[in-house]
Amino acid sequence: MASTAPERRTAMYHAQLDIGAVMADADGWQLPLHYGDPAEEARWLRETVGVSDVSPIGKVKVVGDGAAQSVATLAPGANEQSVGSVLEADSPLPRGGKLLSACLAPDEFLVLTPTGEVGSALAALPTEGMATCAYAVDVTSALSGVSIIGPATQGLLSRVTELDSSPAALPDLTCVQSRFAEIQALLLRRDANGFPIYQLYFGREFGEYLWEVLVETAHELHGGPVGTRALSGLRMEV
Amino acid sequence: MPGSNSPRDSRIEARPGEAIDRSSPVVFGFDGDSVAGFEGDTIASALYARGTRVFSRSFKYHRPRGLLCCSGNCPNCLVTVGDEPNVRACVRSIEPGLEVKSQNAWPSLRFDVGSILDRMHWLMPVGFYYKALHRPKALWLLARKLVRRVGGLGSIDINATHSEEFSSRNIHGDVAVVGGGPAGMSAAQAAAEAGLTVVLIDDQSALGGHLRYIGQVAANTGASERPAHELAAEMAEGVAGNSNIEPILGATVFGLYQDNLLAILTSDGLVRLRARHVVLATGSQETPLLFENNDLPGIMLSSAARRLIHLYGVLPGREAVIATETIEGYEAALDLMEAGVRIAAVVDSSNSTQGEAADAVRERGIRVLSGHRVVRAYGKGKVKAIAVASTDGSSGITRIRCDLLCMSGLPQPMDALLHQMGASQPGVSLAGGVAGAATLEETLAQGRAAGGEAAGPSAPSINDHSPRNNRPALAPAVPAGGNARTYVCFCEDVSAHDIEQAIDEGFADVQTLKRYTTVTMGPCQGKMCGAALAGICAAHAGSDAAAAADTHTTFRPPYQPVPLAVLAGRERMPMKRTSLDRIHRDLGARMVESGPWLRPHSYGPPADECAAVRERVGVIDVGTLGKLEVVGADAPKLLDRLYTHSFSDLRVGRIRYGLMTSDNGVIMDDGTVTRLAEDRYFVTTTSGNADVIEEWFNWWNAGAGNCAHVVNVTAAYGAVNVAGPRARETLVKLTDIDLSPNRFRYMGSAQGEVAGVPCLLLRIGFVGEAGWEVHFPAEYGEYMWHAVMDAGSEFGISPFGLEAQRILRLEKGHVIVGQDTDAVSTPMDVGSDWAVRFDKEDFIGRGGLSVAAYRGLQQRLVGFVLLHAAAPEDGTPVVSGGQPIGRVTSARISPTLGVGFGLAWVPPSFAVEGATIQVLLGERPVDAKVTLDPVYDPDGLRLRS
Repeated sequence: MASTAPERRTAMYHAQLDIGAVMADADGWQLPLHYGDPAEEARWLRETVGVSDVSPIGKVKVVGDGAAQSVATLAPGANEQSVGSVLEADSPLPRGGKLLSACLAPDEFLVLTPTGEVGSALAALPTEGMATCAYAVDVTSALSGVSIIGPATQGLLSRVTELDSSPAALPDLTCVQSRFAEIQALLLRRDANGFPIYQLYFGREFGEYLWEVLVETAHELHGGPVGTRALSGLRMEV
Repeated sequence: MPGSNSPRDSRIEARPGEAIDRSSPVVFGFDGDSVAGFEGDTIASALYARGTRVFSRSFKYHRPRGLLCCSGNCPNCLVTVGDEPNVRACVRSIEPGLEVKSQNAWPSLRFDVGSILDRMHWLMPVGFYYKALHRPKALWLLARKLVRRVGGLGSIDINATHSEEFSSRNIHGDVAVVGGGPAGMSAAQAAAEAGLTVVLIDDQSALGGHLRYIGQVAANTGASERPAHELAAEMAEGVAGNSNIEPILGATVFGLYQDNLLAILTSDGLVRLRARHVVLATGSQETPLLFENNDLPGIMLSSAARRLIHLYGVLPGREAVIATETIEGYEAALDLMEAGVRIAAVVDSSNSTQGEAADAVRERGIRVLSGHRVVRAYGKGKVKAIAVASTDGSSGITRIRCDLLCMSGLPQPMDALLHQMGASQPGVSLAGGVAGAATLEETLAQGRAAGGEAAGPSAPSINDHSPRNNRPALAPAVPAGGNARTYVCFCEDVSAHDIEQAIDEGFADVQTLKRYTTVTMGPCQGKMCGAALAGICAAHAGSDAAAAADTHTTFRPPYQPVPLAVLAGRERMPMKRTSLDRIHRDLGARMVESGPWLRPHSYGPPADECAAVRERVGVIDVGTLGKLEVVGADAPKLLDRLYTHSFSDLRVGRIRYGLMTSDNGVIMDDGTVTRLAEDRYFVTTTSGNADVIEEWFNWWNAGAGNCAHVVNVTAAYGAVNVAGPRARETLVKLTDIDLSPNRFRYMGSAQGEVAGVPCLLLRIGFVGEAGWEVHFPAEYGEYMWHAVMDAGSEFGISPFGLEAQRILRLEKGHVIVGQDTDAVSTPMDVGSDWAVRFDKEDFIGRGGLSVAAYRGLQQRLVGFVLLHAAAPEDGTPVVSGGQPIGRVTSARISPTLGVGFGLAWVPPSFAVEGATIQVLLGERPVDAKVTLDPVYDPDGLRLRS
């Protein structure tokens, strides 16, 4: 048997090391604590734009005619969600926190759980014995995730997608699927106390590519990659 | 210092509203000289201020050309800036250290050897390259090289890489207003005040349009006369203060597409703007007049002269003649006079021009020649005098000395964007000069109305606002008998004489004339020549002015030349990478593109990698396999319908080969199907096809009423194939799963931990050895790789790449869909009829396969073995009696046999064990023996061991 503990690396791991990331363990995942100057990263979040790897967030795809009903057991109200809406709910899972339910189609939902809670979520989602069809598949490993935060977020998005992501077109707690720098992805908006935060989810196989595009574009706007330390600081502020 | 100048040379006193900052000198280079200007100057204005009159040499005859439009619309001031050719000097601002070079002239702009062509113009009549220099044939080969050498403007530095300099962005707005003049600004304000978001685009560096350079305006909606620049500044301030308006300046809208998509060229790249409503406020433009030598430097549009005065404080000339067809010419005369230019005469083609400006000109004692037109300009290198004659021929030629001739031809609407859209389109309004507004009051009112329409419940169609509906048809006066030096097209040196000759040759309409003469095909895209061309055509056809005004060539994007680097943008070629990508590269693997993936071709000699797999244990990254989870109570039913095989009878934990055909029975894809649970399958597809197959599954599943769903988990799982006689010993060290041959049999699967990571193990073998595909959450990829390599090190484990895999699978006779199959290959053709279950319910392709089975084999994929160690190239013909009878699809040298071998399509009569075929090795046909069994382990004993 292997002697070292299994280490989980996101698709952007090496690209982050290449630009000076200082890694730290977060629930078994290697995530950048910072890229050399956490204060500068915090400034980007407040004044320009920062991009941050949030791939470890748990992701469960629930499909089937009974998907909404199934998701509603975790996120009450999901059975009334319209396509493109995002529902935020207190997580009933062991670690608490918040769950997000993104309605991608009438019979397709993406449930975002706190890191490490996917197993609990899968166990809690009723798929067996339901009157209608509902199935859940863990897609945590399939999708990379990047948070895009800061006042210049619109500028960044406008450089990578033709999608209208303005606040009027994409208000808080909505999501949309489109192409970003040639890659199909899901853009989800969930504000924190009025502070707009966007999350972009896309195929892991494009992780390094899209990460580099987003970082390069953030640099053009005088922002850049931010680590978990700057993100934590922002969470406390907002 | 040669070529140097004081920034105050040829400048007039500072004027309010000018664009330059006289306190900020800027020095740049032009053809090796040092030139001084001011911040805010364009290259052209700074050069003109120091006395430069010749800015370029013309395309064909190398005639000297000077400033004509001063607004970025004509080809006369194209220069090279740094390594960027064909920059319009009249709109590019100067910067310290800028290196500017003239174009199309050698050895210098002043003395250009190429100008000899101007004296030989009779040798190059219109379309000469279609009818001369073609006989004897060899002559054209030489002439073509020469034409190519002298053709074109500027030089492209093929080593320059500009793609990183240009970005692209996408913006959205309720309203896009094209044109930042008074109409555009009032439209933007009206729309913004209605709460709409507005993007206002203008190709100049500041808002204001013609108000910035026309001196005084008369009544502003009833107000008293005031400086035009004040009104422009006041309106621009209003725009700047409105947070709903985003101005984009120095930018050209070069394309207007369906659904109101605007393509905008900016200084730093491309902007794609999508708007609910578009207001075109692009204005109108004076057109050049037609007379002999109308291209001499010193002859320019009157608006160009006024721009030089009001924006850059540059005196356009000392003694001017104004040639006009409208009242605007009189206004220009007054303006120039006020700036210090002596007006030698106003030459008016009309006898009936009325207006305050005309009266004022006469009151000031300026000579007015009504009912006259310019017939010729004199000068060499710049205009020195002109000849005028009465339009009715009642008087003789009058010669007038001047160093500046300002042309004020009939204004033409700048409506190219409108025409680009072709058919009428809702959501587009026109305002201002482009819609025929004649006065400022009318212009402002139209702007407000257009902005208001954008906020209205239903947007008007362009047909309601056609320029032709709002103004009388206008066409330029075309003198009869075009002269060879009367230029219609300044871009391509096409004269009125050329056009008339082409018409005489039968090219009678604008579309064929365009193609034959190249008129309107140059950098100006018809802005300078379109109206004159239409006028000449109409005159020859005997049509009236209205017909001429409605005649134009087809308008297509781009409206302005756009650098290819801008259209290309940043190099973004997304390739899929597995979770082991960095490991491969760190190991020095040669990475190759395989469909959308980057994969290791090899880590060293492929033969060594093959040997490792055959003799010890090898590991290959197979994370590229497409992976779909098919879930639901009806998942078996769905798979039975999609595959030729049956999967409803597959036991949980077992694996079955799956072959998928299109509805005509042609092989689409193959892979394995593993039943994880009664209602859950794990499906693999070929590496490049996951997305296509996912779509295919969903297409056939949609609306079928199945409880079956497809989730693409390709990226979720990393995977390695551990194969070879010591593969079991390697994996046993990492897992508690019983891997013994009797418990974990070929085509079986198990889920459990490997190296502490939850994995799915599939006992399958593409390379013909005992092996396991180990699928694991992708984030553990590198950890898993190291764990497997560490475990296998004592057995001599080696990574192997795509090339070794292809050799090894070829020895087993395994087919690669797409490589060994083509657009007509059926399962029967490749010998996989065992995978087709005609005894189950209907499936996709059944009909096509039934027909194919009834018709019998037309071709057959077989193995072949050569007699010596050489391999034909993929695609090489299979021949018999010197005639091609098939083709090789894959061939290599077998490490096992030591000879060349492969797969090939042959007629059924040759698909017999031991039959002799011939394949080409280079040009030489060599014998090969057909084999229907794998050349390696034909009984599969090693595979199942």
